[in-house]
Amino acid sequence: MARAARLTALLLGCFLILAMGGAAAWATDGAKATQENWTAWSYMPENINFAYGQKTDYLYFVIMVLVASIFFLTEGLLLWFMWKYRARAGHKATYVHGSNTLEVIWTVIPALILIWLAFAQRGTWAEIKQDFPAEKDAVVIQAFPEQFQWNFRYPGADEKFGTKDDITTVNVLTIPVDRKILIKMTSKDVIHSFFLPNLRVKQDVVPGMLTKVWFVANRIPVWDLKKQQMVFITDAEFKAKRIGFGSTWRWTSAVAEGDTTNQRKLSYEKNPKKPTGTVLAGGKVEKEQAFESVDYVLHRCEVACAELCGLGHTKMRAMLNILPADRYAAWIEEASEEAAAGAEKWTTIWDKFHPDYNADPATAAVAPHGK
Amino acid sequence: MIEAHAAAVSGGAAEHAHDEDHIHPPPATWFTKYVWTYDHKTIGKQYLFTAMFFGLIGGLLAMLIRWQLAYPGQPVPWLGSIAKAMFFFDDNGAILPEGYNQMVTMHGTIMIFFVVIPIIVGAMGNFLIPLHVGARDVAFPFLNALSYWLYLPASVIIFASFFVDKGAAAAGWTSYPPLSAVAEMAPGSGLGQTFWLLSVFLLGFSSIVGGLNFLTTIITMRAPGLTMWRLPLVTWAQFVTSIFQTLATPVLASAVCLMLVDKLTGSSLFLPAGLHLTGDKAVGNSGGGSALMWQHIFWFYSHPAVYILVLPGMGVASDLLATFARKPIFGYKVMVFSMSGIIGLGFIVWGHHMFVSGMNPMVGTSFMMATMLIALPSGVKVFNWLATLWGGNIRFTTPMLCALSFVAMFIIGGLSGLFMAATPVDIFIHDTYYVVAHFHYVVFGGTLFAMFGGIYFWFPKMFGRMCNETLAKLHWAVTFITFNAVFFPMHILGEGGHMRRIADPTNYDFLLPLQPMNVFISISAFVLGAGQFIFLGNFFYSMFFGPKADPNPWQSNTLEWTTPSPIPYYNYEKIPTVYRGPYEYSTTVAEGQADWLAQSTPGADPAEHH
Ligand code: HEM
Ligand SMILES: [Cu+2]
Ligand SMILES: [Cu+2]
Repeated sequence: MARAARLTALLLGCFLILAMGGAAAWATDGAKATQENWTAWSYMPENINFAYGQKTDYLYFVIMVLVASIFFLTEGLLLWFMWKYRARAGHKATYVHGSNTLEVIWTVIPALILIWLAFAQRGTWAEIKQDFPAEKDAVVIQAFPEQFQWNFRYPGADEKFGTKDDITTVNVLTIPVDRKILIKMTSKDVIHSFFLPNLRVKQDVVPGMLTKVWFVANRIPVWDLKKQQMVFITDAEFKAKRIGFGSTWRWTSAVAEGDTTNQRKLSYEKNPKKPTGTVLAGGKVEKEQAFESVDYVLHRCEVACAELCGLGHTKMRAMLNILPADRYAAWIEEASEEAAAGAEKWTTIWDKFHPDYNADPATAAVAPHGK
Repeated sequence: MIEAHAAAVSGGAAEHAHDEDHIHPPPATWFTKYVWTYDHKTIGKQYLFTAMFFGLIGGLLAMLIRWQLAYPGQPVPWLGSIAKAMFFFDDNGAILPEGYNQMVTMHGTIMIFFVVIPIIVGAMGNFLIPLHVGARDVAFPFLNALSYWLYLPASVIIFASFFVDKGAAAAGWTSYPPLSAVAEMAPGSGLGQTFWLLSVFLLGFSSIVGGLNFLTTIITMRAPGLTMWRLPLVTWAQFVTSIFQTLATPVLASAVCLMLVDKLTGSSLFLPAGLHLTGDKAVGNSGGGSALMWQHIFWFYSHPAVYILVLPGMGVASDLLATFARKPIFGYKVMVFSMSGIIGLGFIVWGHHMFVSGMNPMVGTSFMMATMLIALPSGVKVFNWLATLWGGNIRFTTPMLCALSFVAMFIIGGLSGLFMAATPVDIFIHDTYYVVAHFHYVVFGGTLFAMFGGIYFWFPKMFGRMCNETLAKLHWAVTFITFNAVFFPMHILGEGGHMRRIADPTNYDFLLPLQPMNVFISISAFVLGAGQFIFLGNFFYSMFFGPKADPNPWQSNTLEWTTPSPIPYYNYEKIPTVYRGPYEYSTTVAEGQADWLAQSTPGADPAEHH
């Protein structure tokens, strides 16, 4: 009995020590945190929203430090007491019912910490979900998800929604870098959730309700052909590099033969049918460039649906293109000449049921209802 | 400063107690003994066995879920032709995305409503409360039987829903409308969802009836000398839980009723105007309703429900820690006050599940404040548990190892709650595996360990035999290690942004680097699942063939240990008189004697000498 007890206590002890070691390694990795990237030590996708993403990441970092300290303190005491006060022959436990002093200490100190924590984040939350930029200062886009795709609409040249020149897309969201983006959303059917991992954005999209998000994308995703991985660069860095653009660099994501875990291998491969393509260099467009002539290819981020929305929920994914201002303008021009994808549901459903969501609340004669 | 003596008032309850002090004749037939029985202990066992059966089903679903996440789209092994009979699978036996949604929905529903609550409240509460208050039965034995006989049809209905047209409900255990309310929006939202609603409705009544019964029993049927401040913390926890159950469950029942009305009469309480199906076909009855209203009503119940899940576990852990540390529980009254704090705050934090739901962000801020504060009573409890161990003489029995695991795991679960309580941080981790990690640490790591501890602890009282201690330790070790291997990495998945409830994470580029971790988790989960058969084997073998148990194998103080093992149907031959609190271990009064002092041993209350 005593031996088995010691053995099992040892096991619990070893495990907790291992867990604490792991957590310690993780925490020392925290030294990697920098002003620009508070979560460099973590598994979080890189943050590229410098408007407030750094603040949320900073809070994550602060809470991690706090939580790690409490974790080590409490689990450490648990282990220590387990060892120190293990049953031994001739030993007797201390007969004690409690201590009011201790109770006060370990109520008041955590209470102060928790209240501080609550107030420490209030401002950031308000900045993210309450203090939206004025529509005239932002690129305004509408999102109208449905089972199971993301529909987006741009106001076109007249900067008004619900007019003939609107641009609509399906599963592609294209935005300019370094600009405030304001997205106004409602759902066509069930509740979806608009999730941009790299931008620290998540907001449910609810039928019958207008929900909004705003953010700034301060980095452009490109694919590093040498390292075969995605990297984020600034607009200035983008201009200083030669960047491949178009179908010559063909995105492939194949599952290796015999891999049962669907571990897709991601890369850009040469398109045999189109050996040369467009390159962006120093803000200029160079045509007919060879695949090998660049080290970087324009890449994109992902939009995910984070709320269980039915059968195809798992595939409800869109692309997020982030472009320099000139390329964004070019894209808008191109898109307005093309036939709009899925334009009909906007006019027959959104504009019919939610005309008030089209108006800019700052200029609307009557405030939209319910908001 | 040492806490002042416990209240020495001899309870007003004592006066009523002698009314009950006569022994009814034993149940005459097999049917009244085992089936339609009024005996709280047998009803407790009925709950236990039914819940264990559902535990197997819920566990099996978990294994299928983990298979799909590690090997998306690969046929499930050993399934063969059974697969084709079920809606879950395609013809090769691979899990369909819709089948996956049904699995996560039913896994959550079954584990919460049909396994954990029935075991922790139905089984433990029923078995222990009358024993701990020194009574022959609960206040209303008929209602008690009724509560089980409402739970049983509810479980039959939920089980049957797997086999209805288009399969079981598939909108998550939270059943958010419009997905759950409109039949065309998900295959499971037809008959499957209707069955789900009916089942939860019945179960709600079972809960309310049970809660009222427990409250009445604890308030009116305490033995002479047993003041409220001399109740074991398990019973205090059941008391507090019952308050939650009686106040919150009616709200769930009304939510469920409203959705049933939507589904059956074509009304649109939860359906706003302008809903359209794929192909832009209008939903006929949509208009005027609110999709968010459901979330408010649902979480108004379901946040208290998560505390219904954990409070009795806290009680069990407190009792086991005191017993095996051979020490009075540290800060007994503070433990009770913190549980009361949890009730008070528990009713005003539901919005923390809705920070990004579209709810007014200013309301979100106030829910954030309240949520931060609810971490406080949980923290205070942890400190008191630690202080209970301090200066103890700790015996590492299996129940104790389970109680220690409860504390160790509950700390982790509580701490991850802080991240999610922080609104800006929750934006990123909401609806990711972070949440899944959090609640499995509190519910599985916390409550389930307390349940295992409780079962190993009270097994001798239930069946009159001892469990095999070696197998029990093995079961504990396997469960503890694999539990952590399964759920700790889920924090990391969540940190990586891995959404919950997605059938195939490999669709997303940003989740691909996390896929090996999914495989690791799944393999650990299979071992965790297999490890539970050690428990089942030990349980059923020991029930019939275990060594006969002494009346008090753990040298514990509470009243039930003064009865023979197993307990006779009338519990106490003579209603005991209580002289002191439940945790008088290692008292100085009993110097040189045993290190325990039963509540009903005549003599002084050593707590009063301080
Ligand atoms: C220390 C105190 C706790 C805090 C601060 C806390 C906080 C939270 C928050 C903010 C969420 C919502 C996360 C999200 O969806 O984004 C959550 C979810 C959850 N919590 Fe806790 N929690 C605490 C303790 C507990 C306990 C003791 C339990 C149960 C035994 C529990 C069970 C759950 C469950 C089941 C969910 C997820 C429900 C779902 O979405 O399916 N929590 N918690
Ligand atoms: Cu969706
Ligand atoms: Cu909650």
